[in-house]
Amino acid sequence: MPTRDSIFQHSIRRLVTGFAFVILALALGTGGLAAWWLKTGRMPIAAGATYMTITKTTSADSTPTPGIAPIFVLVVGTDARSGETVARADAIHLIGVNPLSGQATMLNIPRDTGAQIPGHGTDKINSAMSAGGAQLLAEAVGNLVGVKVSFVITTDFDGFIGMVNGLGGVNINVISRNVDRQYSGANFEIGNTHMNGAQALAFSRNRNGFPSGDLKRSENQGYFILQALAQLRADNPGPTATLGLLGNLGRHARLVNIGWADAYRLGRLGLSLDPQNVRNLVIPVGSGVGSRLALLGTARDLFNDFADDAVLQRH
Amino acid sequence: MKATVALLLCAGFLAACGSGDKKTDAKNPESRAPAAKIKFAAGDVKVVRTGSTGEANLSDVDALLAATASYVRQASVNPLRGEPLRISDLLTASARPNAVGHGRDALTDAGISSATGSVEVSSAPLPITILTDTTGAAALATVTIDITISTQTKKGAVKIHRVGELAFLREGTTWLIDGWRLTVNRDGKGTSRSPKTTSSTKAP
Repeated sequence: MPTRDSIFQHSIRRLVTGFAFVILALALGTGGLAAWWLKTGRMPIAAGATYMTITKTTSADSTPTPGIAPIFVLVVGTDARSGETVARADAIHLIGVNPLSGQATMLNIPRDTGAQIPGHGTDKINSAMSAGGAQLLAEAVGNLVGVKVSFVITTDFDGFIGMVNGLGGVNINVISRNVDRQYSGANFEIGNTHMNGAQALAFSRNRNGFPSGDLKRSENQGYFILQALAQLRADNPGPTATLGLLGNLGRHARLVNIGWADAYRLGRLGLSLDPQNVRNLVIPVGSGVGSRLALLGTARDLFNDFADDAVLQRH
Repeated sequence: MKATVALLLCAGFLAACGSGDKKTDAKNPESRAPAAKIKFAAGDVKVVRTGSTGEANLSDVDALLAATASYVRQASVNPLRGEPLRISDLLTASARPNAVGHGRDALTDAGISSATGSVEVSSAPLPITILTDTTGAAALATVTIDITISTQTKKGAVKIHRVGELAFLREGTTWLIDGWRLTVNRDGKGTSRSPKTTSSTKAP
């Protein structure tokens, strides 16, 4: 029979990991959950493991009006395996949040999308991460879409599983069949499902079960995060609880160039977002040069619509 | 590992009281109700560490209590006394845009009839939570409030009960309000034109 202490510790652990997930998810939003799916093995999550790295970019302080101007956050999943320091960004989600309206948009960017990588010519956009880390990836994505990315949240396979398990799992309303027993192990029929970390990973990494492959997978990753965010908001902590969680977050996140005030605001901003007010869509891409994907003609208008206020009015 | 240290600084109630018994003419500052003296006591003080060090610093606690008192004075007491609302200097640049609409109604008592008598402020000791950075210095803090403000206006009595949390960010040596989660209930005939109940619980 669980003791009061064990129940308390479990509750605290859920809150801590929940907050870590919120920062990742939301900080806005979304999807970093992505890349991990590409890994086939998984390592056990040790207590105090690092779930994510949060980087404040060099353009973060150029926000014209704090509290009013839209904020753009990049959520990235890398293909780094244990011990590797150089990795590609295989899940790329750009989240724009409009603080005034409480609306947000999550643009899911396929990893093979061709783009200008500053200082490295044209290449798949996911190569920016291995070429110059989070800062260069932020610049590449920012240039592609026409925004200034202020923060980059990076996670990996292990961190994702750890977060979901730390939450005690996530309830997902599966709205389209997601089955791929051979590769990802996904086996989800339509309906409500409670997923643990490994199941959530399978759900999010499945691309072989869909005709549109990686595009549908990217969309599903965003959907998963929004579903998880909706669940987390039910326990929405206030400012004091947020401080407590921030203290513990330090053990699960690596902060690069970011202060605690920024971390606090990111968390509060994320918690303020109603997932129903977050648009989740994949940018329009098609076949390009070699194995690269090229932006379709409608992409530029979509980016312009997104860049001005982080909210889509025409799409 | 718990990185918090509980400190009971004061037990006792209290808070502030106003004095004054003269009738108020909002157009004539000379005849306004005397300014209330607002002084809060600290309740439980907790420290959340992000590094290996960090303790409750009495000067920070005092500064947070003073900042809270300034907020109550500028956001509630002075407007009730017919003075302009001046809270901008108490807020961070990020918080100012949120002090509008429902946020403003939850945060301030502007728009209520001017007091004709003293403005009484009462409060239990205020619990404080301080987040210290990796060097042990205080960076963020929250103050939990449960404050009642009472006064008389030409339209009748006014009783304002505000509960919730204020989030403070330390900028240099100053603590500024960076966010809030407040619910305010206003009662009495003097509150007929103001929101009876306002909550601001989302961002910030």
